[in-house]
Amino acid sequence: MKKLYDFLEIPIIVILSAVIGSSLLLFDLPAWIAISSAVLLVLIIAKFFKYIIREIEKLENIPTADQKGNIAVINESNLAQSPTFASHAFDAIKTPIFIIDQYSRVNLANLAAKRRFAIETLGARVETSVRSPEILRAVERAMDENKLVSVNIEHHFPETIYENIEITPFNHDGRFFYIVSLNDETNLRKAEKMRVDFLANAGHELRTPLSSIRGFLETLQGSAKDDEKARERFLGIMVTQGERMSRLINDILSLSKIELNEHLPPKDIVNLNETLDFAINSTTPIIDNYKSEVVLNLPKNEVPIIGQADQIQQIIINLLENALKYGLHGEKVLISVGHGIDLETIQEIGTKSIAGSAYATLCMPQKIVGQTYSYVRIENAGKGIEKKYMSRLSERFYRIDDESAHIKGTGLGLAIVKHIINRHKGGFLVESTPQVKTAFTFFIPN
Amino acid sequence: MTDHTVKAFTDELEGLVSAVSRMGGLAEKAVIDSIRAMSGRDIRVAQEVIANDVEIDDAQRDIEKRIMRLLALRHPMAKDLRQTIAALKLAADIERIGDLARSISRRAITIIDHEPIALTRSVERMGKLACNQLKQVLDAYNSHQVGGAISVWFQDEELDDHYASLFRELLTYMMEDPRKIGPATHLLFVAKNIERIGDHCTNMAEVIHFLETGEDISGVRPKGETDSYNSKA
Repeated sequence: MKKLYDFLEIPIIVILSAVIGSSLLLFDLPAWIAISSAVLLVLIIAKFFKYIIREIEKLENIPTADQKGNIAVINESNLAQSPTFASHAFDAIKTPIFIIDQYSRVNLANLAAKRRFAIETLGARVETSVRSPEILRAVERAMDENKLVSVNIEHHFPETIYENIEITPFNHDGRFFYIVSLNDETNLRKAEKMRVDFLANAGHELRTPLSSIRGFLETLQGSAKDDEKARERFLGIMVTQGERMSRLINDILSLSKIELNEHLPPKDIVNLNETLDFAINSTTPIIDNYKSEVVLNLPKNEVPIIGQADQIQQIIINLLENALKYGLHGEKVLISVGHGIDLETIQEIGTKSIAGSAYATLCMPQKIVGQTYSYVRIENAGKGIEKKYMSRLSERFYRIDDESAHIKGTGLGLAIVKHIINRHKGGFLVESTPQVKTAFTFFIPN
Repeated sequence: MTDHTVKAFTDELEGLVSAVSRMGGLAEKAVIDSIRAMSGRDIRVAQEVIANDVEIDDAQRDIEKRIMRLLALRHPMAKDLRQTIAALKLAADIERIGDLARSISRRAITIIDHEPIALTRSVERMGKLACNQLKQVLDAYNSHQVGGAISVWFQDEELDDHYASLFRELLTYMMEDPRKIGPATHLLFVAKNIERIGDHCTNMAEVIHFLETGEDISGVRPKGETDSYNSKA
């Protein structure tokens, strides 16, 4: 309808003006008045028609539901009216996509690609933001052969990522462009690899309690068959070993679950104060057991961080349990929280607040200018940790030898903490003075 | 990059910078893979790193040729001159890093022949630290962020500390069991190579700082190696 109108608009205006003008001339008016008033009148009428037609079009193009029941806007003119629509849609795609021209300059990149490769200005050469030789090689191949190239690549640092890269050439205004899209296939591959790792590590760790249980069982079958006293004692040991095994299995399972999602950044907003409360409440029996006390030093305001609540809670519980287990029994555990602080300041707080202490960084996020963090610092008095052991603390199944003898633990607690923090793009610091005190500080972006 | 009257000059400079960046990417991958080959006991990956080192050497030659041409034809001034000289120095450092990665891979192949040593994990962690430094310094070069370069410059100490403690641990290990001296020595060399990679990253950080600001990073260069020289284990 509108098209028809557009097509006929000018002829209609001319003809109508001529007709009205000549009829006005019949009233003996001067020619210029007659003609100009006729044109004016016709223009007003035309405007009015246009308005009515637009209104009708609006009614015709109400968003309609498609077969799946989703509301889809099918009005093309709506899209045209908003030039940012396409770029918003492009940015909303979670797969990193960028487009390069035949001179290998990045012409367009969506938000995911900009983040991934730190692309700041468009128009720069692709090599200055994408360094991965595999991706660059694939791009070159696509340019040489000028056809779709699809390759599987793997990155191993900082996290292991498996990706399928697709480079699609297209032609615009006689120039060639190439769409590079990176599809994450990590979950798929990681699941395969995890099975192998899991069997190796867990098998080794489970063997110890299991062989102890078996040993006692054999003794009970044989020489200690009728010894009431020994039987009681052996059964007690076996129960402890059984508990150890189930603790180990729980830890292993939660670790592998966290690892699987490590490269998926969390999105929820978590209230740190609240999470701390939950964590401390659920640790109460252990706190009482060690006759200890938790002293909280919270900021007055709420502390919102970007994270996953139960994982943050697990960090706090693991660290708090360690503080209780390895600290001097009966001493207080201090927990302090800070908010909206930059990386350098946190490093100062996390590593240099106990005078004369040794410290180590267990995990550090990539520096982002202007990013602030909230930190939680858990401090306890006790034997402390020597510098040489520090950097190994977050290693899987690592335990400082002289302690493992009498303190229950799987050696996975801090590994779990580190993996969670890695996922949250936060950091993890340890500071200690042997024989005096130890403090663990972790921080998560705001 | 500011535009020049002669567009070809701009193109050549940009080409030079992206060639250096690309070469950096190759070395980065070589280092990551060499560490992975050692810790994951993967001979195939180690052999790949050794074979791919030629590519890094070629890249350096190509960059040197570009620089020679640029200096001869364009007589760059001010930042352009710094950019050119920086490319020359960075390419040299990156080439050395590539060689060190190749050497790590060679040793990894020997280490894999022996029984696994627990301390390999420690060396791996040290390697990851070095990878992180290399990544940061290359990121700083690409994003023109002096801050990144400075932070790498300060991190070198951490790597040196790590090396010193590893050195002691490995010595103790060898004393305990003389049969392990062979593989442990190879591991020690791997650690030394990683520590050197860190040193080259520090060098690169200095070059990038000079490139961006025109000034040297002031103060004393962090050096923590003395520990391992004095160590009696």
